[in-house]
Amino acid sequence: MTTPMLIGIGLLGLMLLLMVVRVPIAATMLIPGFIGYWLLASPEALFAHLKGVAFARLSVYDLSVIPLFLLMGYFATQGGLSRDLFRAANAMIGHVRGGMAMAAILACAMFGTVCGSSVATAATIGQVAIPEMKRLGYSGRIYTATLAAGGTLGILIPPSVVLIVYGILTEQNIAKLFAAAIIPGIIATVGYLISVAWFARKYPEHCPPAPRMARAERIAAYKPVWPIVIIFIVVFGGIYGGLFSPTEAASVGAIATFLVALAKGELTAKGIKESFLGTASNTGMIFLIFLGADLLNSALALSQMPAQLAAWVSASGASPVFIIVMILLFYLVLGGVMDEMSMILLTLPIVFPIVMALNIHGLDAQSKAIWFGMLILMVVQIGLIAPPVGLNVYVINGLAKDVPMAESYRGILPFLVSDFVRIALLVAFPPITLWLVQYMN
Amino acid sequence: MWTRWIRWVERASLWFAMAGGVMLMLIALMTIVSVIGRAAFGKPVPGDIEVTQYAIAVTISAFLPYCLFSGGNLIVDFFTAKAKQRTKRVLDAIGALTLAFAMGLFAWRTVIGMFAVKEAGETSMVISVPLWWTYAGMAPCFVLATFAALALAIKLWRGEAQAGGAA
Repeated sequence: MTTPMLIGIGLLGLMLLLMVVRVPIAATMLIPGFIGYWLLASPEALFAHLKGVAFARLSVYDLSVIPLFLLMGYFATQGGLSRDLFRAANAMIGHVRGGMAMAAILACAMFGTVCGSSVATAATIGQVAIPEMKRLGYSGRIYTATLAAGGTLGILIPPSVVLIVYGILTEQNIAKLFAAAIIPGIIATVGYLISVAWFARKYPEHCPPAPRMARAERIAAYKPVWPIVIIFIVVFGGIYGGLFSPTEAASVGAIATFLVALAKGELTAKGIKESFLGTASNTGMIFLIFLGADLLNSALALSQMPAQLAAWVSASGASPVFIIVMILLFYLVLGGVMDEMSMILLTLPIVFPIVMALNIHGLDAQSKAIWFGMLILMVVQIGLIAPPVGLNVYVINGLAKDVPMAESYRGILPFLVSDFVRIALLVAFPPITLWLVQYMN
Repeated sequence: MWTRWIRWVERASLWFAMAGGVMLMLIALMTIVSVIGRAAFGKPVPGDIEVTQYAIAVTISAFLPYCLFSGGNLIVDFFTAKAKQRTKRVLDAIGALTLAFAMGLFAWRTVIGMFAVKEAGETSMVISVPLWWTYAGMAPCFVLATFAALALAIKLWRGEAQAGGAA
């Protein structure tokens, strides 16, 4: 093995070591990145690189999509749209067994159309749904699990921060990625509804039934939802029809949601401030890691390690689907200890070229990239709810502190089964993701 | 005296984040005006893409200091979850210092970069915005981010803050 490659491996080792001793994730990548660049190129090269790298990486037109869609989600939250969504969904299916949990899933799915973050979706819908489910006598197991799993619909259904990041890293068309995510997002929603139904049948004592609302009451509950439906249709219809670029659609969406929330009279000055700060916090976190991963990857590229790894994989003669499954398993394990966004940002520059070199179901390059993006999205999503550390489960347990974590994970199982069925379907049948994309120009 | 300094840094970070939020709204409004202009009169706002590109770089930078106080200091808690509180506090403070070092390096180099780009007189393609303006917007953000990481280190050391994230 060459010295640069050894350095490359050493950098990854250093990164893991820094993670173990609680160094912030962004710094666990920045520090080895500095060292690697220093050793593999030269100190002068490192300093020259740093002079322009922040400007070069951040002044990218498509990046604006991330904060804009985050802002849109916060306006929707602060404007009370999440409560309206949950009420409408509950009016629709609240009366069936497990109906209120199903309503929470549907509300998450609908909220996912204006919000690109799973944690935000889980927390927002959780705030309105958990007290209601508690009041009706639902068990902690089912309401925490439903909200943690349902929250992931925030990233499965476009807009999706993960897909935007994937699109930017791999230079794919974000609009097409969004289109590709629509059918898997619907499958995910239906799968979760089935999981709830199964759970409610098996453990009826966890989900007491509720009476059906009167017709007038139901119609009144549906009414406040129409602005969200219109915003969704304009934003994604516009993207899909080629009328808007994703940045334009996100701008329209953010301003429209702002106006709707204002018109409802629920968006106060404090709400606007909270929206800005939430967006700042989330955006900053993503881009701090983005800068770190970028620097470490530049250093790793100098070590030739990624190229060697790719050559080794393609020379191994393993079947493409086997390699894909191994990559996904690797992600699932790594996602157990590492934050999913950092994992994607760090590994994608290495893994993506490997995948693109594979012949998968005879797909062309663009279709393959979109299809793999969907698999990455699923893996990230599973990581958000799977033990030992599922971020969404933590967030929901923060809202329902009396429910033990083990109870929540027990409730998560049926949802995980649905996730694995979906991921298997997507691996086996690429048309599920690609069918809608082909009609775009 | 550190307490006052920390409060100052926190307040400045908050204002930077708010300014970033306002800038983001302006980007969105300009983009909408441009879309309408394009659709109705066949004329988008000249240089809209460039302006968005530079404004977003400054906006994201302006978000960094605030995010350090509120979750941007995401750590892996998995291996040390059962460690002593004191050990965690010391490790977290050192961790924040490494972040401060990294931010400081970016701040220093971005300032140097600003002078280099200004010297070279580079401008954007369509409406000839001097590129160094963007650098000048980003540099103070990285300087403040460095301060924010230092302030965070002190707070973590004193046990006044918690390292972020469960991931």
